[in-house]
Amino acid sequence: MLGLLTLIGVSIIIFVAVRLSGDPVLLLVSADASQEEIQRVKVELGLDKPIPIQYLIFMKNSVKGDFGRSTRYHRPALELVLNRLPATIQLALLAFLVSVGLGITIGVISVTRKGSWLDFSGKTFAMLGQAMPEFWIGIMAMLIFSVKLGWLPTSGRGGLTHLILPSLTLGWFSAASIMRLTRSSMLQVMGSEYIKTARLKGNPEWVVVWRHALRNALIPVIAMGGIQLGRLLGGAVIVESIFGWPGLGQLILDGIYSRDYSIVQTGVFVTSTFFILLNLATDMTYGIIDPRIRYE
Amino acid sequence: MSETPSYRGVWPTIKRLPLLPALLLMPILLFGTLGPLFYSHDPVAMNPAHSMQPPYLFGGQASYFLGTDHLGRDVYSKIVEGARASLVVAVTGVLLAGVLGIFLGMVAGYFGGWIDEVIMRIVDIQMSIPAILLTILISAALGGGLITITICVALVFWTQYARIIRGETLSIKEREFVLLARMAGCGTGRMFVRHIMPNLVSTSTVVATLQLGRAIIIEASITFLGLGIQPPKTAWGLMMAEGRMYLSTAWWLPAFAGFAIVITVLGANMMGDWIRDRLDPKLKQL
Repeated sequence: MLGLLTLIGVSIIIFVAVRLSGDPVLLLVSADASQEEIQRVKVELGLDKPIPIQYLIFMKNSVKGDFGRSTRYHRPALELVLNRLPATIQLALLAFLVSVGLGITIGVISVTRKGSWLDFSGKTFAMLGQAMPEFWIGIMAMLIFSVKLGWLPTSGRGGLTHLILPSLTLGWFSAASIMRLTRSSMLQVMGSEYIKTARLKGNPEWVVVWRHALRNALIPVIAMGGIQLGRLLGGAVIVESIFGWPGLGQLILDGIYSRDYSIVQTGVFVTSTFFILLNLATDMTYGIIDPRIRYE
Repeated sequence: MSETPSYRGVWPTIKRLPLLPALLLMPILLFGTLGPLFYSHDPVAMNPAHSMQPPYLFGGQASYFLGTDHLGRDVYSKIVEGARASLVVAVTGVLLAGVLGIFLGMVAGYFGGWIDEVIMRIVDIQMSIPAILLTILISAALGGGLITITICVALVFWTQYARIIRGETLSIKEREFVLLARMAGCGTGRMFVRHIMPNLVSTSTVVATLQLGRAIIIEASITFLGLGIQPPKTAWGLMMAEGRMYLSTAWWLPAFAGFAIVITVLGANMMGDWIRDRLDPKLKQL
C-alpha cells in the first residue's frame, strides 16, 4: 500500500519535471509553421490543457495501460519502453552478479588474510572503485581493451564479448561497496563466540569462514545488494550511452534530447517501479533470512 | 596507571593526520581558487597549428605538458580551469543540500507526528528515483548550466541528510538538557538554535564530506551527458565527452580529465572517511 502511494508521488514528480523541460511542439513542426499549426499540434497532444488536468488524464489512461504515444517514434510509449527493458535488465543483472561475486569474494579474502598485501589490494580495489565515475572506467576500459588491444568490441549488443566491458564497468562501483560492507561485517562476525565454537569443533578453517561466518555476515550485505541493484538500473544510463547498449537508459536519454515527454515519463516511471519493487523484495528477504527480525 | 602524556613525539602525531587525502585534494583546491596562476597557456585560446599534440612524455612538446586537444587548447590548462566548476558545484551543492536536509530533518525529528510522516514520505518518494535519472530529469527541466547542476546536486543529496539528522534529533530530543530547557520554557526557535543544532554539527560535517565525492561524480556524469555545464565553459566532464570521439587518435584528451576526477574524488572520499573516524564512527555503515 505504501509502495503504491510512493509510486503515485514518483509519477507526480516525473510528470512535473518533464513538463517543465520545454515545449516539444516547437521541435515537431517546421520552422515557419503558423500559429494555428502550432496550436493544432498542441491540441492533438493534449498539451493545451492546464497541467493538473493533464496529470489526471495521464493517470486515467495509465490505469488502462495507455502511457501515451511517443512523439518521436509514433508508437505507444509503453511498448517502446518494454521493448528496451530486457536489454537494460540483462546488463544490470550481469553487473549485479559481477559485483556481488567479486565484492563478496574479495571481501572475504581481505578478511581472512587481514594485514597482508591481499588485504591491501582488496581495500585499494574498493577505494578506487568508489572514486571512479562509471564513464571514466568505461572509456578507459574501451581504450585499453578495444582500441589498443583489440580484444573486445566497443559497442552494440551481441554475444558474450559485447557484455564483458559494460557489465564490468557498471559493476565495479557496486563491487566496491559490497566488498567494504562484507569486510566489515565479516570482521564483526569472526570475533563472535559461535565462530570460536565452530573452530573448537574441529571444522577446517574454510568451512568456518565460508559456511558459518559468511552466512551471518551476509545479512546486511543482502540489504545493500537490493539497493545496489536498483542503483544499477539507474546507473545503466551512462554505461549504455558509452557502449551503445540499446537499453532503456539510452531511450530515456534520447527522449530528453528530443523532448519526447511520453518516453521520458514512462521510462523513468518503469525504472522507479522496479526500484520500489526491489526494495520491497529486499525487505521481505531480510525477514526470511534473519529470524530475529521476524518477531519485531 | 597514569594517562599517556599528551606529547607523544612528532611522528605519531603526523601519522594520524590525513596527509594522503590532503595531497590528493590540493590540486582541485588550488586550481579551483587560484586557477589563473597555474595556467601554462590560456585554456580557451585555440591554436589550430598545434592541435592534437601528444603529451610531453609521449613525444610532444614540453610547453604542452599534457598535450593539446582537437582545437589546439592546452589540456593541462583546461584541467586547471575545469577544477573551478567542479569545486563550485560540489561544495555549493552539498552545502545547499545540507541546509535543506538539516532543517527538514530537524523539524521532522523534533515535532514528530504528521509533519514527520509527510517529510519522510517525500524523502522516500524521491529516493525511489535513481539519482542519475533524477538529475537528468531536473536538468532537463531547468536547462543546463552551472546553477542548474548545483540545484540538482542539492536536490539529490538533501534526502540523505534529512534521514540521518532526523535520527540524530530523535536521540538528542530525549537528552537531559533538552528536557530541562523545555521545562524552563524555552521556545522552539531558541531550542533549535541553541540546543539542538550545536549537537548536530559533527554528524553534519561527516555527512557533508562523505557526499562531496559523490557530488563530484554526479556533476561530472551529467556534464558528460551534455546536460550540465555547457560549452564554451570548461569542465572535466565536457573534456571527456569531447575527447571520447578522439579515443583512438588522441587518448590523452579524456584520459587526463578523468584522471583529475578520480584523484579528486579519491581524496574527498578518504578525507571523508578520516573525518568520520575522528568524529562519529557510528556512521561507518555509510
